[in-house]
Amino acid sequence: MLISADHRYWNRATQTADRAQLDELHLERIRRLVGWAYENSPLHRRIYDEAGVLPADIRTWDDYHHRLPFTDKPDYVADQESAANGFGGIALDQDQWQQYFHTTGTTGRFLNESFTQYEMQKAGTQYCYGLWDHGIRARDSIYFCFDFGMWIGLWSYYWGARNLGLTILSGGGASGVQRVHQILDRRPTIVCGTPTYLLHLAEIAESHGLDIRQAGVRMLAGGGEAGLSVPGTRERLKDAWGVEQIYDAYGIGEALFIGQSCAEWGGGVHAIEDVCHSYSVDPDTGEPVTDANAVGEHVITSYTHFTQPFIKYRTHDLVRIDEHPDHGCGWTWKHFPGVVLGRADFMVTIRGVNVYPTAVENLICEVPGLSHHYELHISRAAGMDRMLVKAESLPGVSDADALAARLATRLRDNIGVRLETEVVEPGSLPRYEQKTTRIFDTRTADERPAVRLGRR
Amino acid sequence: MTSTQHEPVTVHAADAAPGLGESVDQQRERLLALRAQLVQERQRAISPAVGRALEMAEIYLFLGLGYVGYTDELLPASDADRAGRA
Repeated sequence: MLISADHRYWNRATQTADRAQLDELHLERIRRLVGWAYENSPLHRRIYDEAGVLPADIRTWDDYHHRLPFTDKPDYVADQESAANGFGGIALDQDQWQQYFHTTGTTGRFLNESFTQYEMQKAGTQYCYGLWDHGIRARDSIYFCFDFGMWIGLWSYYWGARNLGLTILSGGGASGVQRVHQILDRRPTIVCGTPTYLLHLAEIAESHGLDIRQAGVRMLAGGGEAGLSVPGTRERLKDAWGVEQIYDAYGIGEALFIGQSCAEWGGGVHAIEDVCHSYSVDPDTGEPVTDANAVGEHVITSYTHFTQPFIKYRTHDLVRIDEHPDHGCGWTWKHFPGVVLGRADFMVTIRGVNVYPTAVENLICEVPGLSHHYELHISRAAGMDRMLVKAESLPGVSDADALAARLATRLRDNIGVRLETEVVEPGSLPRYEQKTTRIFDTRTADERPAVRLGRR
Repeated sequence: MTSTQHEPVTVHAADAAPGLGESVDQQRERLLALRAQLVQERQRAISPAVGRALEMAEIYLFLGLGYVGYTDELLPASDADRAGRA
């Protein structure tokens, strides 16, 4: 093999380029992409025409930030519902598409997605930077704990593994205990799954008298949930599996896993700037957020999607973005400490305090006697947001009320407000193979926060 | 559709891409030259099999161009050309 396994970075040229060089590349790619979308996507042409902007108007970052309109999932969903082929925002003819997918439907509606062969290859590259940084090489192997279906996230992980040259082991169609046996037999370098499912597999192994730690797995990798960047969950996974490395990937259904961990673990993931541009905006004004400590809504432009361009696209994820990370990895790419802190559309404000689900998860993990499994139930009563934290106890814990009180105290001491808490029996909350549903928001559309980005 | 049915593909010369260093610039130029050869060979493909193999080769080569800061085109020529929108 001609590729030297000794290279420190997957692609040093861009991964360590200075911010000015990176921004210059981004602006050039964005300008070309806006032109492509305007010429080829009726949806984008309509949006840009309505905003009175032409591709030639987008020459500077100020133009991008202030003249180019945001796009959002409802734009694409409305377009797909009126399109004869059932896809929204399309810019490339159907005879060139190679595979169909859809998003998870977390927000209630599937968004149909289509990819050409090149787009799939390009999307797969985004995993290589972080996995390479962790010392993963073509001699290594990866076990997927999923059934391969229409959900795109897993497929893109698979493309990444193929791109890097890993040996693929598919656990598709197998039961939990069959997967445990396969992992023990095949001893993959990496096991890929959601954090909830990986913990569940460890529970299954234990319940069958099997020690998953004997599989010699080196890394647990995945995404789809916050857990892989939540310190308490990371420690539980390391302990349950006996692994050295936890690898997080932050994904957006429309742009795939555009955030990946580096080996130095700076508490979050880096934006993979070869495949997207990433910034955040003030949810009220739509202005770019430049303070690394300020929380804003994440907005992306994807360089892996040309069949369906996603340009200045609202993710509704609340993030902090450090444009100049310095935690020792050498990457110059933007960093998201804590990854996704919450959702702009699920934002909960209790007595003036914004409550972020990831903060709650981290604190649950710190309470002895509680498992990693929890749900957040958001409601509204008497004009006030309420949040019930429902957490599952570990086996052998008897006094659920006392445990709930300890959890409430822990949350109040750290978040600053008292949340309602309830501790339920071990195994009573559902386990999910793919993205876990943790937030149940029963507020009406009028009761939820309106994120206007400066619009009236 | 196979590459043997394609109209001639134009490979764009590199504009002044943001400077990522001399060795990066040199690799980008070599990759572009290689791509031009590949495109020429696709046009002379003796069968759909050879044409498709070279089309896939261009897809992988285009990934390499992206790594070295190539911004003149968004897509491999095969995709853009088939769309008639290079």
